[in-house]
This record gives sequence, C-alpha cells and structure tokens, in this order.
Amino acid sequence: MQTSVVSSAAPEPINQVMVSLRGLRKTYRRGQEEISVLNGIDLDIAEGAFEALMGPSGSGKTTLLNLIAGIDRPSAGTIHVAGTDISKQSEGELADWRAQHVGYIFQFYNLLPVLTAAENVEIPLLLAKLSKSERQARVRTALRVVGLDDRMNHYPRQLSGGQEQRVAIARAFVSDPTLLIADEPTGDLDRKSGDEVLELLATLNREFGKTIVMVTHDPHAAERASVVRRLEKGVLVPA
Amino acid sequence: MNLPKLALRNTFRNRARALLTIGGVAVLVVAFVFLRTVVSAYRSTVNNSRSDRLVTRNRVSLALPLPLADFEKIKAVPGATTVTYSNWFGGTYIDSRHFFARFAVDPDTYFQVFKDVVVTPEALAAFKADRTGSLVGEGLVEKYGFKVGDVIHLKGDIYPGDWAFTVRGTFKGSNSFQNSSMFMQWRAIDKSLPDTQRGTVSQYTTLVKDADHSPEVGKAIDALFASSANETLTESEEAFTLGFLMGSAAIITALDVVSVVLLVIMLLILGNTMAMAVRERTGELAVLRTIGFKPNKLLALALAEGLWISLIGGILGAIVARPVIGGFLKYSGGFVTGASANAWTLPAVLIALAVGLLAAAIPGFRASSVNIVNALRRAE
Repeated sequence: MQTSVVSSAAPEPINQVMVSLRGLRKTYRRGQEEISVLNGIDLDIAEGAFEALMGPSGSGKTTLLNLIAGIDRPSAGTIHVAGTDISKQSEGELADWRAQHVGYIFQFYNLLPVLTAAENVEIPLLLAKLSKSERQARVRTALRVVGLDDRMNHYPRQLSGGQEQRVAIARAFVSDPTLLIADEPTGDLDRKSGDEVLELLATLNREFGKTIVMVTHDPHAAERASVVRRLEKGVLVPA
Repeated sequence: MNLPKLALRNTFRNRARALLTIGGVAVLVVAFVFLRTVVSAYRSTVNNSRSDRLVTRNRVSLALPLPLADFEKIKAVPGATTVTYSNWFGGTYIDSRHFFARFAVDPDTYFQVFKDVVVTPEALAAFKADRTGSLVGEGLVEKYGFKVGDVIHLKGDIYPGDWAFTVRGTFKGSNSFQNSSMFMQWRAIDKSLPDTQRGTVSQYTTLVKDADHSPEVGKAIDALFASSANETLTESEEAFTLGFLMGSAAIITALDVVSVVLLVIMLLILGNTMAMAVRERTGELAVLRTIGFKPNKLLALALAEGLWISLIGGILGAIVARPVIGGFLKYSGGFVTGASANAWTLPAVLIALAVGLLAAAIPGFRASSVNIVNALRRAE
C-alpha cells in the first residue's frame, strides 16, 4: 500500500480526542420564526474512531456533520477539531483548515462532470503546494486504493454510481485529511455498491487510522461503525 | 489539471450555448473592427488635411460651379499666397466597383498649393505637355498596375462621353485619399463643354501665408463674392474634406456611438452566459468551497471562463475581420484605401477580453459568495 496519500499504515492508539463539541447549538430563522436544529450538543469523538450518526429526518444529523466539517457555523458553543477551535475561525482560515483537515463524502458523489476520475481526485491537491508529478502520483495511489486505477480517464457519466462514490472517496482522502466526513455515503447506492463503499471506509479507518464521522439512515451501514450515536430533535440520545 | 483548464472545460460544458456565445462575440468583434477601421481611415484622411489650405466652393452647393473669373480675385486677397482650382470629374473606370477619385486640375498651380503631393519635374512636364495626359497616385499604381504610357478609358457622367487619358506620370500623396486619385487637365475638360458652360470650376484651394490667419483670409474671400450671383463658402481643408467624404461629421460620431453600443451588446451577451453558467453550477461551487477553495479562487474561475469565451470569440472575430474588411476596402474605390484591419484587430481582442472580465465579474462575485450549506441543499 502506498503511503503518500494516507499518512500511516497502522492506526494510532485510540485515546486522543479528535473532535470535541461543547454546548453546540444551531438555530435557523425562517421569517419571524426561529427554528432550533441542535440544542446543546456535547460530544467527543476519539482519534481513529469510525462513528455513525443516526436519527430521523430533521433530527439535525447533517447540520451536526456540516458544523464538524467547518462548512457551517454554530449559533452557540465550541467545536474543537484536532485541537483547533474552528468556531472562531474566519472564512478564509476555515477554507484553509478544510483543505488540510477535512475530506467530505457526499450522498450524491458531487463529482465535477467535466473532469475525468483522475482530475476529480486531483482537485483538492490543487490547493496544496505539490508539483504536477507529485499530484499525479497521489491521484494514481488514491484511485488504486479505491480499486479504480483502470478508470482514471473515465468521466463520471461513464461510471456506475458505486464507482462514482469510490472516486468521491478517493477525492476525500487524497490530500490525507485528519477527518473524513460522510453524509449518507450509501444513500444513493444499491446494497452491493453500498457494501463496497462501506468496506472502503472501514479499510481507511482500520488500515490508515482515518477518523470517520458518517451520517446514515441505514442500520446496515451503521453496523460498520465502531460507535453509533443517535440524534433526535437536536439532542443526542442513547443509541 | 489546473484552474484555467477547469475553466476551459466549464466553458464548453454546454457546447451549443458556448458556441453561440463565442459566435456572437466573434460577429461583434468583426463589426467593431470594421467600424473602427472605417472611422480611423476617414479620420486619417481628415487629419492629414492642412490648416494652411482653404477650400472655396459655391455657398449653395458643391454641385454648383464657380466662375473661373474668381481665380484672380481670390489670388489678390491679402494673406493668400497661391490659389488653384479643380473640378470633380466623376466618370466610371471599367464599372462602378472600380471607383476612385478623379479630378480635373490646373497643372500650373495645383502642385504649388498641394506641396504634399510629390511629383517629379519630368512627370509634371510631361503631364503639362499633353492635354489628354493624366497623373495617377501610387495607390492606383499598386492596385491597377498603371504605368507611363497606359491609356485609361473613362465613361463620363458629369462630363459625358468616352474619355481616354494617357498616364504621363505618378505622384505620391500624403494620405490614402490622395494616393488613390487621378488627375487630368482642367483645360481639356473645359474645352469639351459647350461654350455656355465653359469657364467654371468646382472649387478653389488657397494656400495661406499664415495658418493662424486662415479664418480671416476665408472671411475675406467670401466677402468678395457676397451678394454676387455665386456666393462662396470658404472653409478649412479639414472641414471641407470631412464634409466631402462623409456628408456630415455626425455620421462619424454615430459610428463612434455604434462601436460603443457593440461593446455593450457584447457585455450583455457574455454577462447573460456567465450568469446562467454560474447559476447552473451553484452546487459544484459549494463542493469546491467544501473542499477548501477560497472565494477568490471561485471568482478567478468565473473570470477565467469569461476570458476564455471572449478570447476565443475575439481571436475568431479578428481572423474573420481581416478578409471581410479587406473586401470592403477593395470595394470602397480608394476613399478608404491605406486603412487596414490589422490596426484594430489586437485592440479589439484586448477590448473583448476586458469585456469578458467585466461580464464575468458579477456572476463571479456571486459564485465566490455562495453559501455552502444552502447551495448543497439545493443541489440535492
């Protein structure tokens, strides 16, 4: 296995806190009405963990995921990821932080249709100071890890849903982020493709020590996680 | 992969729209280069007019002649050094597509007033010695290959009949208009007319001692003929040339305005395309922001897309403009020869690029300020 994409071949001991949320609240305003989505979340996620967040629609799962990923801002509370309080960062600092620390896997893959699989995977590396050959080497390795090195020059429209999601996973970890965030990664896939994707995530967690936080509706998908948490009406409840 | 390459791929994502927009930009660039070239050519001709030369014509209309008897009177006006006269000959060479200016001139005085028209003493002597002789400008020599001894056949209109003029020499003018002119002797033309119509000229041109006093000299000339049967209008050569070439300076101003309108249309076309492109791609922009792209990178991406469209359209337009304008100049019969599309092609491409940047700016700012969460939600 190549190590240029993912930083370690063996996971570190799971004892340090990677994500720490304290008193996290998120409210939205719809006209005059204030809608509370998250109501004081306190949560610690250990480094190297594979956690699944479950809960009914509207429970605040994706909102919580977006806050941890630094693409949304809390109304109150703090978010520490790998020791950094991201709730206090500016837009620019957050963008830099996301580029270095977060790999995001979307439910609907969100690959750029005008780019090939390899080019899609290369996108995050454009933000790093790497030469073209270094970028290409990393892209090849990432696509090999997800088993699509023979589809490098295929466009998304030429790939199946499962293959697209694997390309999206390669894109998420190619820059060796601290944290992988997955929002319903199997939600748009059949069972077989979904299993392949889950196996891939498990491999990234198990073999490369990646901390993964995954939102899912699917109990079968949640079974692959080491920790399952349940969110209802904006609060964490016992799973 | 790099950002310009990504922008290029995005440009051709909707191929039909991209090609139509590029085609629109190209057509506008052709039209813009065409207008600017024509305006520049006319301005160049006008700007080459000298301030120490005055043109006197019939106040009622240029089509009405003035008596030759006025020649001596104008010569005697204080401040005037030399005076010459000429008639517009008109006529047709081969057919109407082979149009160029033809003047019947007084060979004794013409080149004293028009010192910027250079003719060798030998050629001038040969011209003077042959009543049916002619002098042709270098532009005509280049276009038609005229050489000394050739006979140019003209079909007369103002002066009816079939005319044959032997080329006795060539001259080099100071502008494209002069270089595309042909001179024959006024006396030969005058002699062909019935007795009652002889002894008239289209215009007098006066060389003044001091260009600063041209207005006073002009007024003095017109004062001589005030209340006569043939009142005169004396104006600077520049004003006369502009009026002669264009009928009115207002037309040039209109062409200037139309040039700007073309740029505004280009801005609107590009702006519309960019706005649609950015709106359709909101979800992807949110993905890029999630990955860690900063707002300025998304702005740069949109600007690069605007630049690609305008660059391709601009270059295409510049390539097409050359033969189109070349064809027009050939057809224009020499009035705008010497003008070249080349002078305006590079500026037109640069202007198109600037318009492309401007058109992409607002959609670009919108792209850069996309709310990630909302955009992702909409994309799903």
